[in-house]
Amino acid sequence: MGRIESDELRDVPGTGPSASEDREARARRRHYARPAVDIYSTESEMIVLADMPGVRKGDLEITLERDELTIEGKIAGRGEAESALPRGYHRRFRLRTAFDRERIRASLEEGILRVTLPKAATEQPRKIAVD
Amino acid sequence: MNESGSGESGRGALAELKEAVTSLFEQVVGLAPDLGFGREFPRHELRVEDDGFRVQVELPGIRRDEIDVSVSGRTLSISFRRERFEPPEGARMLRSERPSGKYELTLRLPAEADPLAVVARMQDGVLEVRLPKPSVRGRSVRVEGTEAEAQEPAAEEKPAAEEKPAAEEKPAAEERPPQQMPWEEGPQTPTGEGEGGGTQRG
Repeated sequence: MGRIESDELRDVPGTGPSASEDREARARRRHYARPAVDIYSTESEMIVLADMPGVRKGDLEITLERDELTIEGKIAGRGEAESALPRGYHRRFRLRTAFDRERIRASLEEGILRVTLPKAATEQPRKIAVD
Repeated sequence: MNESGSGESGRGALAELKEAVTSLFEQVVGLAPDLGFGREFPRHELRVEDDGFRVQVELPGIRRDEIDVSVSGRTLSISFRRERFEPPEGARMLRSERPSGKYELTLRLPAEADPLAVVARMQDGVLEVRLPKPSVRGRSVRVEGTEAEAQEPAAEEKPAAEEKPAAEEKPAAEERPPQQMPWEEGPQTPTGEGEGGGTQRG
C-alpha cells in the first residue's frame, strides 16, 4: 500500500459532508467502498487508475468541481440484501495542480477506471531560450 | 435533524455514529478507515440460492483466460495472477494501492455441488461462478406423476468420492427423502481433506 504525500493531490474523506452533497447521496454511499487506486504523475499529465469491478460505463460518474475530482460508480443489480460486496465505489481527491479541464479523458475496462488529466501549460516545465 | 417516524430511526442513528467515527478517523489519520468494506483482496461472496451456490469475486483487470477455476468435493479454488500497471517512463508514483501478484482463493462450500455443472463467467471485472446442486436432488423433488417424466436418475456420475453422500444413493422416486439433505444443514463430519478442519492430534 504505497502512499506518498504529495503536493499534487490529497484524499478527501469519503463520507464526510461536502458542499454540494445532499443527505440522499451520502445514504447511497453507505454501501459503497473506497476503490484502491494507483496514481502516477508525469511532467505532462496525471494518471489515476481505480479498481471498480462491476461498474458499467453508464453507471460511472466522474466530476471535477473546482479542485475536487470525484469518481463514483454504481453496480447495477446489487442492493437490498446485505452483502460482502459493495454496491458501488466512491472516492474524492483534492487536486493541487492545475489541469486542462477540456482534455481530461476517462475509460473503463474490465472494472478498472482510468482517468488521464493533462496538466495545464502553466504547470509544465518549460525551457526558456536565451537570446 | 428531522425524525422519520418508521422503525428506521435506530439504524439511522447507527449510520450517523458510523459517519461520525469515520470522519473523526479521517481527521486524525487522514484516510477513511473503510468501515464497511476492508482492503481484503480479492473481495468475494458466496451465496446459497435455491438451485445451488453463487460465488462472486472481484477481479478487476483480469482476463478470463488468466483465471483458473476448479471444484473438487466441497472445495472451490480460484487462482489468478494480477500484473502491475506499467507507468510511463519517468512517472512519479503518488499512490500504489492496487494489489498485484499471484493469488489463490480457496472456498469451502457448505455442501457439495455438481462439478460437471459448474459455470464461470467474467464480466466488468467480476467473476461469477455458479455451482448447481447435484442433479440427483432436482429429480427427486420434481416427481409429479406422468410416466414419461420419470427417467432414470443419472446418479453414478459423481466423481467426488471423499465426501460421504448423504442421500445420493437413494432412488430418486421419493417425494421427500427421509434423510437430511446436505443442502439443509451440512453434516459436520470433517473428512480430513479440507484445510479448515485440521486435527492436531494423530
